[in-house]
Amino acid sequence: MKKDNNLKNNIFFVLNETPSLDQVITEPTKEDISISTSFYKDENEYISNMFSINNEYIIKNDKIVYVDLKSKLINTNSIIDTSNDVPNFEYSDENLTNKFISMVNEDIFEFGYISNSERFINDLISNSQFDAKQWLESVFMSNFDNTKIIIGILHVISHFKYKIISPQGQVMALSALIHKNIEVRECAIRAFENWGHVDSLRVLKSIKCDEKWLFDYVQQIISDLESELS
Amino acid sequence: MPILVRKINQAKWPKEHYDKILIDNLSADAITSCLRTSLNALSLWEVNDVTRLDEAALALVSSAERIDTIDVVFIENNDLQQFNFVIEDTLMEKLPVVDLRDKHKDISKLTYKTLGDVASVVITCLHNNRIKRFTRSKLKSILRIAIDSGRLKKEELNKTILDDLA
Repeated sequence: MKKDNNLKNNIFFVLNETPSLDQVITEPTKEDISISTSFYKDENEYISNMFSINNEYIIKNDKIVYVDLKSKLINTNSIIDTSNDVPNFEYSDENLTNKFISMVNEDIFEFGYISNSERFINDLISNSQFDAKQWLESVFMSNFDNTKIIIGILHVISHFKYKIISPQGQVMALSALIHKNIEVRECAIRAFENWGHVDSLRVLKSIKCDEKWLFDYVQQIISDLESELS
Repeated sequence: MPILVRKINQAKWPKEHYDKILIDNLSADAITSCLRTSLNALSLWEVNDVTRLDEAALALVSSAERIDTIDVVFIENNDLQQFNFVIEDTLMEKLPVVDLRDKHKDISKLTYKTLGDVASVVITCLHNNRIKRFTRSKLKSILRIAIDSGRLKKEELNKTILDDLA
């Protein structure tokens, strides 16, 4: 592993495994190429890991920036300095939002499986330097009339642990309970089920369901949670 | 009498007036989300009878990435008779529950038209209340029973599922 001792206050990353050159220099495909990567600041300050190559986002100076990783990854298992790449960087929450929205629109949300959107949000939340939950909540509220987006977000947040996604996750799910679309309401209920928290029980016991199948589902979850939490 | 089991997302399907539903007017989401084919084939699990639906749920959850509440419809032989579906045995070699591997079936050689026929079959199941929801709690219980009885090795489950069971 090469090191440049003159690097200070730079973000650089080390590939924890060796991707094939084909993976890094060919055109991006729909398939997610996920390569374990560690991100360091100042050599020793470990700040993040597990960024998928396709995400093309890294953290620099507390901001999400966009960088063309393809051009950086020809040398594997080496520290790659990004400090001189300022002209290539763009800081934009809007870019991040647009990318996420596109991802959700193209994603498949199947119960029992992890979506690309979930992996994306997991990466963002894992990075303590970015308030991913606040950002996600703002995306949620801005797209409350877009059922595909909010179902996707509910699907994603339902798979995080209660405390990790708190409090924004619960606020989003609570607001979704009044949505006119029944699938949205069901996804919100699923989130409370997945969280399995005593607060979930409190919420589920307090909501009204006019649809019998949804009502039956809520009753079953209440029964399940009362057993699990007792 | 053996029945065939298919996972669907209940929220995407009509909830009433099944006898008045025209397949041509069925929402596209129901078909694209719940009847997604691979190589023109649709995956199903066969169980001996309606009392053995847990077996299908076990097959589905043991091969999944995480435990989420799921819905399944169960299809009887009568439902299929009016259609000329090609149903093939397709061994699921990587299924963690070894004794269920040969219970996997495909409705194969599907076309645009015959996929609509499958949707009709699902509507028939819903009309006859042949749908069951397995909650997360129930699925965990099914997995634990399979592990305790030796049918399933924990290490063959996805890590997220293992964390959930812990």
